[in-house]
Amino acid sequence: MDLRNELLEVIRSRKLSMKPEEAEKLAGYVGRMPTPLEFHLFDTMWSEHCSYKSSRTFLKRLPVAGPLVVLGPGEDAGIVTFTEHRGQEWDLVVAHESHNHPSQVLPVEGAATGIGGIVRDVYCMGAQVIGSLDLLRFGNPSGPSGERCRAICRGVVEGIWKYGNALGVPNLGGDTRFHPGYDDNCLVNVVALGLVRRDRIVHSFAPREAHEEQYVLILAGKPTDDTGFGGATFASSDLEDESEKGAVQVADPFLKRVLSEANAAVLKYLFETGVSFGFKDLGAGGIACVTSEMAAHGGLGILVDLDSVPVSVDGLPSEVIACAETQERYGLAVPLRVAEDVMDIYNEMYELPRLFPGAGATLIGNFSSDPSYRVMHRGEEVANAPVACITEGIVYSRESRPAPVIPVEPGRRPCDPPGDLLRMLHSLDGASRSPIWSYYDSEVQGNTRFRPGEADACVTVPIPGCSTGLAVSGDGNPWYGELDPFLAGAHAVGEAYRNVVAAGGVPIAITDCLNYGNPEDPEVFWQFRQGVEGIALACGKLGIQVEGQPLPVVSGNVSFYNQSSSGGAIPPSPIVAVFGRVDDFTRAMDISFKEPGNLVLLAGIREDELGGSLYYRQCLDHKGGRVPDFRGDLERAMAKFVLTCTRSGISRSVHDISEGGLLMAAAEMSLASRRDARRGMVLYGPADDPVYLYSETPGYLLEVTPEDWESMDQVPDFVSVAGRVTDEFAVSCGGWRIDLQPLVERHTGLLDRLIWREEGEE
Amino acid sequence: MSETSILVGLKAPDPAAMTALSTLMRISPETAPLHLSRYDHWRFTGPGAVREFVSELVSHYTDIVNPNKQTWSFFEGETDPILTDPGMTWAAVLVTDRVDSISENWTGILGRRHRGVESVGYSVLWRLGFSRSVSLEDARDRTMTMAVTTHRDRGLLANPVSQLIELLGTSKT
Amino acid sequence: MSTLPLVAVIQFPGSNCEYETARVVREAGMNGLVFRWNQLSELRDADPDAFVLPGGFSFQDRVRAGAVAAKEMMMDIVFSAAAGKRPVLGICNGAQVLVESGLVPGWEAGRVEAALAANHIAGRSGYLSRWVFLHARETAVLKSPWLGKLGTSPIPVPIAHAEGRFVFWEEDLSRTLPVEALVYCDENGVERPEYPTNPNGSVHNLAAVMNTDGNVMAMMPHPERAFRLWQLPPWIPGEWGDRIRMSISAGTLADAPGPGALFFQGLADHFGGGRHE
Repeated sequence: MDLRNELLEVIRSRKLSMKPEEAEKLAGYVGRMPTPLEFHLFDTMWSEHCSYKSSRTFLKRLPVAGPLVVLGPGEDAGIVTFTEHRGQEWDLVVAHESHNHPSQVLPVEGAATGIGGIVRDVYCMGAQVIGSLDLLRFGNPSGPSGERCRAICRGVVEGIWKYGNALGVPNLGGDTRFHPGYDDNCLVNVVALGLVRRDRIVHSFAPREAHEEQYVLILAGKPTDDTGFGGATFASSDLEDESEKGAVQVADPFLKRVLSEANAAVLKYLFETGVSFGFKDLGAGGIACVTSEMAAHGGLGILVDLDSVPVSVDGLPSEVIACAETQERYGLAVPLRVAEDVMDIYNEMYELPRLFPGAGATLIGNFSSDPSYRVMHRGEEVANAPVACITEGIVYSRESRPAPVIPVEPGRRPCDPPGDLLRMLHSLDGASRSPIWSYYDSEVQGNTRFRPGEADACVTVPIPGCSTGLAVSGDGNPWYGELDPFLAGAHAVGEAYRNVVAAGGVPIAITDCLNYGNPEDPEVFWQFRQGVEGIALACGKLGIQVEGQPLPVVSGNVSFYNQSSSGGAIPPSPIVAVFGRVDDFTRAMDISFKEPGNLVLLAGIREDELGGSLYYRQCLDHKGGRVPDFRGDLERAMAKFVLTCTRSGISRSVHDISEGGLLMAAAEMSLASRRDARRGMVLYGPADDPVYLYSETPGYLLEVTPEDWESMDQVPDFVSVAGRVTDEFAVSCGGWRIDLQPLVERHTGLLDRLIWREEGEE
Repeated sequence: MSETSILVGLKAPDPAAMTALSTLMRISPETAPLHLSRYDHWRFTGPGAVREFVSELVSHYTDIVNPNKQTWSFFEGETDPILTDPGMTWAAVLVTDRVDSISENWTGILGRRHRGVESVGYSVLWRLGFSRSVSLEDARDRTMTMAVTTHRDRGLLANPVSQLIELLGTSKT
Repeated sequence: MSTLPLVAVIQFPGSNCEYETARVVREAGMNGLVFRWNQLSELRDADPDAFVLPGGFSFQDRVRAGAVAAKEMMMDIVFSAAAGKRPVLGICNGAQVLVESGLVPGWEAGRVEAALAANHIAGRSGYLSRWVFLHARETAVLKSPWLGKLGTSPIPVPIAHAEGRFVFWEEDLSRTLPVEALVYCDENGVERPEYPTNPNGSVHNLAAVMNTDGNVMAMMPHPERAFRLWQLPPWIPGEWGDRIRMSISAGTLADAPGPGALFFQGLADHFGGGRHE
């Protein structure tokens, strides 16, 4: 058999996702038939999930640098300047990942390990994790796959609360949407954020000092088993039947919590001792990836001894020990002279071996200046590759074929505000998310100012004693995605950005997760490119923190192959999280109407662009075609206006206009009012214009006192008075009036009844 | 009226069972079992709650059994193979919350959807394995002592104030 | 050496509210220190004036919330301190540990006489995060070192638990009044047994139970999450909602105390500013 056929045979028998030419490339690197461990290591490293081989060329379109960026995409998480407090520089650490495929198969565990992985990415930069967001996309719970969709939704939420709540990381919201395009492929995107002192940032590779002094690799955490073997490749192939899911790992929040405490003690010890070190979490590719990358990115080689790896399953082959993705593990590169002290912190102080049989910290490798990656197991060399090939990536150029959607607008647009509002408030996408949030702990750590639903963005005050707040929001509209993948990208940024601005935050950075179908399909790849272009455009226009500089993308993820076995790709789903700085957290704004008699200002214009709108979908049963345009200059000007009002104390409440348009926004601001001081709004009209009432053209509603309105000297031309706040729990205009009390229960309870109680449609 | 019970166990080692066993070894080293496993126990009652129908239900609701992480079997009570496995002296306790939303919710959901199932009962079954030299009576006593929490240092698996504790007969081969 | 009262916050494996709890102790003018579960001699040497068992998921709520932590050696120290009338507060998971330890209600100390069972809400199971109102029983205000500043008017606090329903033996139900500390009610102080006023089905609407001496209290809601006024949701009705509004217009929101501060200020008052003799 010639080499190529032999390689093909290995790919087939080991179920590798590597292409034949990639296997040949690997054989060339090692100069022989690769070992099983080498095959699996590079299968992971060169998977779409880890290598970004299809996407990398186009991701260069995104702005990733800027005066505030401390660390852009590349390591486990991105870092951006946040604030100064008592002479210390504090930075924000953010990471964004998807855990779509595992969650479709094992919703509880998939969602849990999603949080577990993203939180580890932030911890390993040396940060304290201060929050997480979940951006969830489920299929239609009332559709043909409804039963499965409902079970997945319940399972994902359960995974999030069982794992996330126990970790002690507050849930800072996110969003949830339903679309039949996710019937066979849910999306579970997760964002984690943390804070680190500038002088305490840790990198994920062996430090320069390792060239001068003997450094070793310590593996800390759970004993290795065979879970997650082949996980990264699993994430990078089509979801087929249910036979693949042995690959899903089991998360353990208890061990993780104790491990995080021990890590904090270890980092403190290392900083106090003054030694340089590297720290990296084990994710895709397990021990093999962490050891090779920590060495390679430090310009070193390493000799790994697999016999010293604690395992909880006997007789595992070397490639499984090396590449399994057992959760709750970290790798540390430290000088040999402190290794004992470090392991004592894990094993003695924090008693990992007692709390979890087989857990603990062990020395498993020695770094060396010999630039090779070598692994020994049972007396044999099971891998030996030059480190250079580990850092060298792999790039594909994919074909892209435009597939724009021809816009079709509905012929008639009847306007019945009382009926329309009811339909929108009681729709899957318009109903209250409180049944979901009620499972989440959004308050642990004691720093939360606004919980999910209270303001457009969650706001936390992460440094005790410091007045700087942090506003976070995530978004992405699949209904726009399927009509216009470019505008979907731009609006994903725009919507999350407006949420942060409405809450009083100045956006400082974003992360993204680009969820698409199979990139080998030229039309899907076009959708992906459009999404990237849309995000790039929005980021280029929307920077306001540093005048003239774009809003940087500091971390992100690409998730391809989101489609069912029948081949239908999900709607293009660029999902974006925006992070904003609130200079004085006591000025952060919620959405609830406050005082009768106050005026409600409309910032923004209303345009006839209702494609994908909640009104079209719920009231006309039509998707429409013309998605709201992205007007970058106006968007930035509106944000500046809102922030000026909020910072100067003029704003009383602020809500952005998005799904359902102005009428829905007014209703939501009323619904958020105190139950013993109910408020509503009189709209000045027009009373029967669907464009005015329902258009999702970006904008804001701001509550201000009449005196403050009078005293504003310069009012931008995009600002008008849309109505006033009343002490009646109703929204009214011209000839109609909608009492809100009768709508409350169905609006807040819809998801609970439909998904948790299985009570079916109303 | 039919009644069918199933046991659902994790494919991976059950962390709750691991923690329970190490705690028992610490608080009662003399009487602790050598083996401890934990199962979800579901009891379906109603005119239609026969085995075939329960199989169908179980394959339907992944909240009850997700085949990707769990295995299940019908449970035959005292004579069930898991309690007659040779090599150890076995005992088991069934722990049921006196008031329990999980059972009520599933009774509601299944009752609405499937005629023939009138009630669903959720419990946890703990199975304890002792050395063969331990007598049946002794295994039974030890199991109850370890199950019923009376004091801080006595009992673990159930709190009798809020839970019913049912000792399942021991058998030995 | 600090002469402020020392409050030990006990960290069990899996606790997750220890740091913010120690912080609010310090902000209330006491010395708050976190002790890890195996720092037995450190804790004995420190001889704390009071103890707080914080919220979290000790041992991941395995077997039953609080059941495994109750058997940790650290609890021996808490147990003797409680017997010596030192104030002990268990919050959420800490409350579950106290109940499983037999410290609360403590008719016979060390005997498990109550349970914190799974929430009982129609159509729902699992974890519940929610803001609720509660007020203190008059008898408890007089006896408890934690309730001295609370009075009996309703206050808003958040709950966040899956197992928070107080349960007693049937025959004990008639004698719970002396150990009833905090009770769920609405913003006007009306006690209703239905959800959501009573968020978990707790017997007698109980949110917190103490021991017969009153020095040990197990409470499910989280006072440390309502320590500052700005932690309260903007929609909170009643008197505390008015306070938020006034504080915002007066520009004092950054430092204004919330209702949860009353528990810790009460303890500081109880010590009169110094350590025990």
